[in-house]
Amino acid sequence: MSFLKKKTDKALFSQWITHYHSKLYRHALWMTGNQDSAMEMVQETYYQAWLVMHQLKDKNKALPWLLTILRRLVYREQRCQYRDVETINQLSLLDNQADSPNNDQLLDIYKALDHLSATQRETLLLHALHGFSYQEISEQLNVPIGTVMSRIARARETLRKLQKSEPSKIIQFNDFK
Amino acid sequence: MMQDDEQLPQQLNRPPVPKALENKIRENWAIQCNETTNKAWRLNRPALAFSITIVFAVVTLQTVYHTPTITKAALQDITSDSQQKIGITVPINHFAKQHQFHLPPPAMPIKMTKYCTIDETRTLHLLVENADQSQVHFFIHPGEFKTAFWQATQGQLAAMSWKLIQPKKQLSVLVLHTQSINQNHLEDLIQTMFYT
Repeated sequence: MSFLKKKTDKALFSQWITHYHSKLYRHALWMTGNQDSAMEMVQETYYQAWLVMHQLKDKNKALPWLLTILRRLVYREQRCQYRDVETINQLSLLDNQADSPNNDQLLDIYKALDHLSATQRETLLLHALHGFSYQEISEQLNVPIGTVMSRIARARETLRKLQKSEPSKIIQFNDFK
Repeated sequence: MMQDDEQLPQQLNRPPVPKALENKIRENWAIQCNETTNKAWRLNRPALAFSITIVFAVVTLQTVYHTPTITKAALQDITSDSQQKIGITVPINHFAKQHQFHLPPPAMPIKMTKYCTIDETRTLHLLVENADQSQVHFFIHPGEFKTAFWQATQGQLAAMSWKLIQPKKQLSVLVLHTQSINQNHLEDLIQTMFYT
């Protein structure tokens, strides 16, 4: 029985790698702004996930669970390496195309997101990048749904103000509701 | 550039994912699986050794305390007699004198005697019943019973206790008795019959 369960777990975990590694990578990338760090964290996330996979009761909620593991890694990393201007200047969102217009745009987005607090950025990413509902985010972050809504509202407000103060960035958040 | 709520998700999903990432994750996972298996094996080795020891001990104990076939055959004979209500009494004075043992005292009268073959061994089956209706069956064989040295020489079988004794070199006795019998009376009886 144990052998069969292990086999099922392996098949499931393999699917999780296929389906979620991109989402986790982008999440980590937007949180850290560093491609190498993002890659390491995603690998570490899967490493830890396999160790404690048996703890996940509802296997259909793998992505929120993986994101929780990733979140802890990101916060641990950020405690060690404070995000400052220098860090932002070392951004490598698109290492191979550092001078391309695409990279500039992504850097603009990252810098805009960097004006948000870590919790606001996290909440916004869960909503905008992964498409989780307020309720789902509330469960994942273990905060009241009102807190989720206010974080997203404040994030919007911050991005709007940023757009007004830096119109040259051509980042228009006015219609971002 | 982010222009509306729909564009933000698109922009956030734009950074390409390194192609090597999935392979790296899978490589790490493969290594991790091997380590986990090896670790589990290392952790389980003492448990496995313990289990083998237990199994070996159980098998050994079962072998050592294995009830001899002759005891089982004797019990079958007793059961058979009981069902058929056999009450034969054959003269045994000559047999007792020939093989140098005494008959039980009058306080414990002989209820039945018969010659029977159990486990291919010719024996005299002698049933003694006490006043309290406790019973003692003696299967007396002029010689040695065919039992292996590692087998048990006493124990319990069904509702009866049993033991093998060899009062003399050419006299072996299998004693089966109901558990209600007074042990002192039993020992006295055996002493009186075979050791005096």
